[in-house]
Amino acid sequence: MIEIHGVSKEFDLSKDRRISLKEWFVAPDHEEKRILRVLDNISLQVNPGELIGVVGENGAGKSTLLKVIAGILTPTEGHIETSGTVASILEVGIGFHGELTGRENAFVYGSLLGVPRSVMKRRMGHIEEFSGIGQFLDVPLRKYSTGMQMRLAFSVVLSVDPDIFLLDEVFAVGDQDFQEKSRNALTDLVKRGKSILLVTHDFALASSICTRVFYLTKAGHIIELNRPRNAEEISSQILGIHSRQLA
Amino acid sequence: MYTDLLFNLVRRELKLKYKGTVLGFFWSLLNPLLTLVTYGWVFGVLLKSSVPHYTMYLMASLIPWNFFSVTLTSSVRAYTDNSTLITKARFPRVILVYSTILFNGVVFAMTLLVVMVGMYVFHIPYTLRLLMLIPAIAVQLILSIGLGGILAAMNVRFHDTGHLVDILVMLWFWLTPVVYGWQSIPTKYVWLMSFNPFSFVVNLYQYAVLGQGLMVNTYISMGIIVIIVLIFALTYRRYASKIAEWI
Repeated sequence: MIEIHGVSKEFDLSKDRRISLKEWFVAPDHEEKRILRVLDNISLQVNPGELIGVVGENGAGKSTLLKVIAGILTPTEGHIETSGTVASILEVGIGFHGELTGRENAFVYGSLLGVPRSVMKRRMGHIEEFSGIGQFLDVPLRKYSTGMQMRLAFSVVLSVDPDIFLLDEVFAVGDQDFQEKSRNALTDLVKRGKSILLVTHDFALASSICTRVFYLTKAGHIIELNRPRNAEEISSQILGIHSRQLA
Repeated sequence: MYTDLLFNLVRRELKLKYKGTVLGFFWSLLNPLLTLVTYGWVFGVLLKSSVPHYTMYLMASLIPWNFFSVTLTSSVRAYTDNSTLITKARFPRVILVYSTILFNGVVFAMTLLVVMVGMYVFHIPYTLRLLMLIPAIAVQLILSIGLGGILAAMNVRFHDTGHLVDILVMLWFWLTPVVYGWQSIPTKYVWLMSFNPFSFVVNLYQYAVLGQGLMVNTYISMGIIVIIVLIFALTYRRYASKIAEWI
């Protein structure tokens, strides 16, 4: 379960620019502060067996929200409680290196997701099977197509068995067949009582597999959409929110 | 659990370092051997160093120094070179510093074998003093973790740190009795060496291999190392969560 209580996140953009020692000493103290409020007083609860979708425009702060929940960034205000183990997949295949084989990369990636080496060894067969990579597993990653890399990464992700999944745009990968497989894997996880928070641009996906869908506005507010049955219903509800804000 | 991540990162670096090379880790032996021959020629033959068993003295000092200097210049970039891992995955950031040091430590362990062979070649007896290598390595590791940790964090905030370290390491080399003997230091200045923690470390190696007496004030040197480690521990506790925001 994930409980988000009144979380806000601000970035101090003025600080970002003072990056060298020289600028640190030379920059005037009363420099104008430029604060960007990315998340504004967000409260949300993800129960076990729930797959919550978060949609929103680029730059609305969807990834920031996941990073805050994952504990990578600390919220400016509010707090987050999670019960159980958390796996965050903010980018598929982080730490991948072209010179290493698929198997070697899988071990590194697995340990970044918090999976012990012994467990990874046991799951390698499953990874091999799910990714459909076959004998390519012991070939350097640079020989892989992008789709194959993604399939490998996602297979590692699915072999992780935490209680909470945070997924950022991980479904834009692979061919039709693999997407179908991944989607089924996710719904299985939900049935097994996992809490999943999925950030996506794919309205069709959000409306088809998510139990609830939220819209994150540019101002950093989160608004629950009314049980969308298809992609069009998400679009029209977002349009509705925009026109209400203009009025 | 994160020890798996640590070892996987080290394993990855080792594999990458030697992948595609014909000579493999012999490159790691060749580099110090060539430096040894050059320095031995310049300081032993041309400048006629008065240090007894000069080549052996150089070996016992230069090889730990190489480990130390490469540790500093690479751990200062441990965070900045892995910004994707830091912003996309959750793990104790300091693992990146540990893995950098450990990776170089493996290479160092192999070059240490060269010292052992050197002792045979130059008829230096193997005595129980060699056990002092254990505290020597331990103190060096502690000092490296402390300094490396501080520098890595500083480099996130001020990218100048890396450049500064490159220069300072070069100066530090000449301020440590590596290529010259303790006898060359005027008696009234020897006490100053206690404030250079690496001269203490190198002194331990020289004692273990050649029986060179301890010339530094152990309390002062140890005190300085403790202070460095404390600064590292306190700043890390305070700023660990900021690394992902500043990077």
